[in-house]
Parts: sequence; C-alpha cells; structure tokens
Amino acid sequence: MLNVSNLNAGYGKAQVLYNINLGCKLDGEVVTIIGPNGSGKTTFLNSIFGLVDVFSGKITFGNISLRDIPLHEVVKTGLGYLRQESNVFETLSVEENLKMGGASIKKKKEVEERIDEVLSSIPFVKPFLLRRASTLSGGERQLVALSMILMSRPKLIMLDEPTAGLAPVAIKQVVKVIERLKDENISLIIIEQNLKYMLDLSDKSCLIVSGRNVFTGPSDKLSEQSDLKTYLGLG
Amino acid sequence: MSTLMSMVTLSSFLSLMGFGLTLVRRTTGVWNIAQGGFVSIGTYVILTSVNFLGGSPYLYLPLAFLIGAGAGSVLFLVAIDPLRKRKASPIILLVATIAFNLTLIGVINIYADYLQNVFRINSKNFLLTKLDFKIFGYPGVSIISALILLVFTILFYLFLKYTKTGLTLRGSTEQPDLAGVLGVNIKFVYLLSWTLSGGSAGLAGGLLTMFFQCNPNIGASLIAMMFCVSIIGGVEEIYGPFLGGWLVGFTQIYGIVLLVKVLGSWVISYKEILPMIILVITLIFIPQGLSGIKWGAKVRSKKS
Repeated sequence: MLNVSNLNAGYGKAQVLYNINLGCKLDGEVVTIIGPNGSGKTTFLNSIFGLVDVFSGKITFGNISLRDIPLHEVVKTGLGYLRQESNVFETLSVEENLKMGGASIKKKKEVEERIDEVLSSIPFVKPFLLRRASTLSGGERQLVALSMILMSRPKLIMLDEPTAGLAPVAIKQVVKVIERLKDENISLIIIEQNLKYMLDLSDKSCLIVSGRNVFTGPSDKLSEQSDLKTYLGLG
Repeated sequence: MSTLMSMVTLSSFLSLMGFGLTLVRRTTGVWNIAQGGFVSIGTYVILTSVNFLGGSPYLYLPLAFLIGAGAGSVLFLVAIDPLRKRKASPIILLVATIAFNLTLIGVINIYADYLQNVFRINSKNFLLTKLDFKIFGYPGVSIISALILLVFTILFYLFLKYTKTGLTLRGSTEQPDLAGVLGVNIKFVYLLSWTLSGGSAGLAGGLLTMFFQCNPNIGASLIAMMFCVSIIGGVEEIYGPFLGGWLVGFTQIYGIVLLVKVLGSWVISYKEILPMIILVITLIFIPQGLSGIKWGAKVRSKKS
C-alpha cells in the first residue's frame, strides 16, 4: 500500500501542501485526485518521488519509507509516475525512450523482452518505434510515456492529467489503456480534470483545494461536496 | 605543409580540451574553470613519468588520462555534488571550480618546485620535443594527436549510440528529473561526465608537452581558448567542441599567417585575440554555436 500521512511540502520556503493524507491499496485500486488549478495536485505526486521539498510527514510504500531512499531507487519499489509535462525524451527515438523506461533492468536481453511485452500490451506505439519523440503528436506521446512507465512492471502508477490537451480520439485510446491497467490489477492514482472519464473508473476520490485535502472517500460521495460544486463552477 | 600540421595539432588539442568543458556544461550546467588545471596535471604526469621511468611520453598518455579523470571525479564529489544537492546557483558552482583550480595550481607549483630543487628536473619551463619522433619528416605529435582525437570521437560516438550508459547520459542530459523517475542514477551520470572531462583534459595536457612550452600555469593560460572552442562550437551538441576546435585552430594558425602578410610581424603578439574576435562574432550572429545551426532547415527554406 502507498500511504501518505500528514504530508507538508512545497518549494523552498513556499509551502504548498498542508497535512495531506491519502492511501492507495495495491490490489488494482484507482484513486482520482481532483481540484482547481494550483491546488497542489502535481506537487503531491512530485513529493512522493522527492522531486519537491518535503517539510514533514510520512510517505511509505509497503514497508519502505520513500523519504529515505534516493530518487532512482523509488521506481524499484514498484512505483511509476507519468508526468504531465516533459514525460518523454524528445531527442531520443521511441525505442530509445522505451529503453530509458527500462533503466532499472540490468540485463539487455530482459529489456528487449520487456519492450516486446509492453508493445503487445500497447500496440499503438509499434508503428513509430524508430521515430524521434519530438515528431510525435500529443496522443502518441502520452502512449509512449505510458509504455515507458510500464517497462519497470510497476505495481502502482501515478498519472498526472493523462488526457490533458488531447483530441477525443486520443483520449479514448489513453482511457482504454488505463482501463486495461486496472484490469491487470495495477493500482492507479490519477490527477484528472476530465471527470467524465475518470470518476466512473475510480474507487476513491480525493479533492484537494488550496493544498488541503477537503474530501477523501468513495467517488459516488464526491458530488455531495460543496467544494466540488465550487470547483466545477456550479455555485 | 608545416603550417597545416601546426593547425592540425593545435585543433586536436583544443578539441580535446573543449570537449570536457562542453560535456560538463551540457550535463551539470557548470562552466568548469578547473579544466585548465586538469590540463596542467596532464603535463606534469608526463614530465614526471619520462624523468623517473624513462621512455616515450606517449607511453604515459593513458596515465595522464587516468589522473586527469581522477581529478575531475574529486572536484565533482568534493565540491560540485554537495553544492548541487544544496541547490547552489550556477555562479556558486563556477566559483567552486575557480577555487579548486587555484588550489590545483598552487599544488602543481609546489610540486614543480620540489622536482626542480630536489631532483634538478627542469619543471618550470619545459618542452619535450626531443622525446618525440618523426613521421614522414613531421613531428609525431601532429599526427598522433589527430589520430587520438579521431579515435576518441569515434569511441565516444559509439559509446553514446550503442551502450546503455551512453543512452542514459543522453537522456539525463536532456531531462534529468525524468531520467531519475525512471530509475537512472543521475549522480553516477554526472560523475561519469566529470571523469571523462578531466580525462580528456589530462590527455590533451600530456600531448601538449611535445608541442608547447609548458609551465605550472599552462592550463590557466589556455582556459580562455577552451571557452572559445566550447561556445563557438556550441554547447547544445556534444560534438560542438570538435567543430569549435578546428575553427579556432584554423583561425589561430592561418589567420595569423594572413595577418602577418598584410600587416606585418608585429601582429604575432596579438594572436590570442583572434579566437576572441570569432567568439564575439559567434555570440552576435549564431549564439547557439556552429553545432546549433539547423542546416537542414536552411536548405529546405532555400528550396522553397
């Protein structure tokens, strides 16, 4: 289980998150995090990987305290992270991007076998394997980024707005892949503004407003929250 | 022909020295003033080795590379990495390299005094041309340095293109956070780049002993030229310094020959200004450097 308790984090002296608590089980549970722009959703995911300053709090994955290990060791615990921006290496080919995704795998043969497995799971990526990532469209880029994350066989993947800026067709492809991940019992924490697709998928939702966790609970209870109505512009 | 050989030799040295400077700039964002000190280390490794162990200076080039590489690693582990973890600004990191370089120059000066006073070795102003050999009547260092540069370039290209570590170096240079999230040990990648940087400077310093009059401050006197090579070639591409090295070398040798014909021999004293003029022109018209020019785009726009 990923367990975050009393997390306070930010950038330098600027605190962004205040006493955030969240848990996600490793049995294919899907947690959706929503909230207004600038509420600290991305900062929350970044703090789990140690990419921002964590002032206090506990972040554990299984028995491992993620605050006690270096960044490159976090992925070996079984955590994956699909960032919203800068999630592919633009100067590398798609195949090289996948190999970067397998950075934690020691043997070359294992990397190649894993690439074949991932491509059979996400076949949309196969046609542009030799293309430079900078030449890909937004949707293609997201699929490549997802494929990279899958290279390390994560047990839990954190996705930061995976459908942001994508055309409807591309959104459907990405959602299809996410649904398949859930079917394969990979747990997911998803930040998403596109509630239409994600709330049906998720078991639990978390509403973050101004760095504070104002609601955590079953997704079907979310609509009763007044803060959610404000966030959605419903008064 | 001898002018051509001098140009080839100088260009090879400058490319090797500029390569290390560009590499650490690309990977860690640091302008390393101590690159000059690493060059000086290389010269004194060769001087010490030939005087105590005998033989050709070429035999000890791998040692010059290794000790230069060691110096690069030490600078990274002792100064750059701790400061980087504390989110030091690029200026602070630059100052750290200046401090390290001053320390290095001091130590090399003390060592040179020691060699001179205790072992009566001419260590304050030396040139080892007598230990070089001739190839078709030309100094061996001219051809060997070009060959070393060629082999170095090919090996580095193969390393970047076909090895896992080379791939992680390329990826980490572009996006260190993303690489770290995927499991790349960024500290190791940075350490590798500083090690290679120190090694290439040590190697260049070793070759310098057979071409330039060397002293403890030889590296410091060449640092401005190394910066020219790096910036003119462009820091956005790893092969930039190889372009910059050849242009600066060409300018230094043929440029001064031309100016002497036109203006007279008095301009020789000012030959160090030529690379600076090229540098200013580059910064004004192509600030991204030669390797940053999108040649393909220019051809396409001409066709249309």
